[in-house]
Amino acid sequence: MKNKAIYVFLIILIIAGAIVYTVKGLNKELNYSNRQQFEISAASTFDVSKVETIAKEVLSNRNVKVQKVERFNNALEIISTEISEDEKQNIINKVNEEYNETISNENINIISVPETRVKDILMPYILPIIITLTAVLLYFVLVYSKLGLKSVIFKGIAMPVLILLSYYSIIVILRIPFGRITNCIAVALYLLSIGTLAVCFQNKKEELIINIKNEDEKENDE
Amino acid sequence: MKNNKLKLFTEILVILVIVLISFVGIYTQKENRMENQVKEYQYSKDLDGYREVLLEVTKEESNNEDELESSDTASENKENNSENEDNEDNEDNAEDENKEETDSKNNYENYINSKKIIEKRLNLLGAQDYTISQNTENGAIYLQLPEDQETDHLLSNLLQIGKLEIKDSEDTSKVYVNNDNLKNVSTLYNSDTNGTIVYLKFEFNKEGKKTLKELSTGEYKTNPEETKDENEESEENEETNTVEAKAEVDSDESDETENETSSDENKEEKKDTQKKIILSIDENQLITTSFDDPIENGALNLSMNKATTDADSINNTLKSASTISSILKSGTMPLEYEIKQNSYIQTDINNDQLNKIYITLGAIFGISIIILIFKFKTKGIIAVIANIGFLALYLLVIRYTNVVVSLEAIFTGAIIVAINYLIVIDFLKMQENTKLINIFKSQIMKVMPIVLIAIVFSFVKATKLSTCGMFLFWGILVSMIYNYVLTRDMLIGKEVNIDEK
Repeated sequence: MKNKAIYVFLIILIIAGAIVYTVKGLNKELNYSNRQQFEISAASTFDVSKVETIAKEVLSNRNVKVQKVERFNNALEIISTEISEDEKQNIINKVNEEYNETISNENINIISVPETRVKDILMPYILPIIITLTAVLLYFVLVYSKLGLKSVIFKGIAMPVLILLSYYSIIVILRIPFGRITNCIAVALYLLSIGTLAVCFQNKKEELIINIKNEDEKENDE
Repeated sequence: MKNNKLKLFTEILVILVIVLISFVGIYTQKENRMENQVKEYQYSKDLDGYREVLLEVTKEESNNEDELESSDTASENKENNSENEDNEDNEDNAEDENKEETDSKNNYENYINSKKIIEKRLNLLGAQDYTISQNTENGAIYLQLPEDQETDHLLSNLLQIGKLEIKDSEDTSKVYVNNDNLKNVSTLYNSDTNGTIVYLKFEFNKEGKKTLKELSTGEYKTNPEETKDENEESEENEETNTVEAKAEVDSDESDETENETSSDENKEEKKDTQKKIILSIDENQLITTSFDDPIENGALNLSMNKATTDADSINNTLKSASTISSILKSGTMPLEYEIKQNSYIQTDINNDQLNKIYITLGAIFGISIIILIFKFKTKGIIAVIANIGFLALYLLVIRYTNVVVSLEAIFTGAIIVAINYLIVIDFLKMQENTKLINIFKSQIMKVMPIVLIAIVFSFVKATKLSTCGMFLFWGILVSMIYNYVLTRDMLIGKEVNIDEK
């Protein structure tokens, strides 16, 4: 009864997540969204946090990120969802003031970077997960069929799939930024779900073997 | 009893040494500074840095758009004239609009196809762990590639059009075979006493096979005398001294020289009439030749080098041939792209963010350690030492097996530490009459699905998952060996019967 309630809850969560995804999509991190960026370079070594503060002042109410370009710490890339020419000029002027530089606005172009599709982000994970899930399921069926074939197959498929879909549904519903760490946690959850299933099945099998042994001993005693 | 205590103390010392080496390092003086002799970690692009590349369609496309615009303005001017002309102009406008729609649709399809071809090339050229996105309005493609020794080679070959043509050497508009007839391209090599020759093998489809057969048996077949001349020429190429000697002898005898001159002229005339084909890729001629033998099997072998025994030269030629093969196999680019931006971007995951992840994982580890100590008292403390020793050894193995550390791998490592923790708990909970072999079997069965996942992930191309696979594989191997050699001895000692009976 308890298990059924959990399954029903997870299915409702997944359906809600699907609806929210259809209506609003994912809240992607800046790395995966449509964004605009430009590069500045000078003789000085830039402090990323200082330049990021300047950029956030100018590009208010927007996601802003500053990254180092090349290996000499004298070039930075300023990234945001949208940057106008005036804002770019403003940022350059403030950086010039901060670092006593004379970075010119000419030849600094704002580049528009298209968003990375969810399909392209998730594609490298899908086939390996399907292959591993199939291999693991085969293993469960071969080793734990005595526990009930249907139950083993159902749990073997349902648990990892439901856990992963529920996880992504929570990400979508709560509008948690979908980024690089999102998929890392998904892989960890997948491994945990498979590991937990293996431990549960093995423990059940050992209990079954002990019960069968005890029954045999009782019969022998009788 | 004393021996057991001494043994335990020694084992704890060994663990301490491993922990110090792994977490602190071994420092030696080198040129007035202390250098850590322990190998560094290798990081993936998420943790190290990556090459950011922006590709844009070359401006020939905008020239085409200008032509369309200019044709529109011309048609607009016509509208100011008579009504009949207005009617005609309206039709022209409608046609232009239809043409624009068709062109924009074609452009869209070309953009999508270009992206697909670039992705194919990235996969064939061995790029792993890349991110690609495209602006479907102007076709611009954004790439993030791992920064390594192959990145520049990859970029220099990614945007080749990949147009293969076999055409007439005199009239290059006569193209007999092109990419549509290409079935497969592969790289071969042949070794003999003279050295190794690398070949590009072109295999053509039914139509291409038929065309090649017609060409090789028809007008492009080498004339027999031409063959003789070519053999002489090839001998000349190999033995120039012999040819020079011959020429000196001939020049002494003028009649013979005249005869030879006239025969040379005949030869030249015949050479001129000998039809040849050019095999070119992106207008670069790879070979101009006629066919000595008919080509029945629809395959053409193109040698890429002269026979050599120099290993570096062979490897370079193999690499070039393999690159050409990958470019041709991925298809012809419908549009020409150029690199608009190409910079190395350092990772934005700074030490602070990584430290947050480590602290979170460390906190979970810390809580589990406290639970161990509270539950199992003295044995719990020994178990904690064993766990820390395992973590130190695991990290050392990761460094020395050149496993790349990615974000996914860090989380996978945490799973391995959890698995090890559970194995240690099994030892702690072990009762006196329990056989160790049964516990070992039970643990192997529980861990086997993770081993299966590790094996599959290790062979995946995507670095994110292959690093996970390697982390899992080494983690389970080290855990099993470490726990059954060291931890078992520390926690259980010789009290339990290890036999299978």
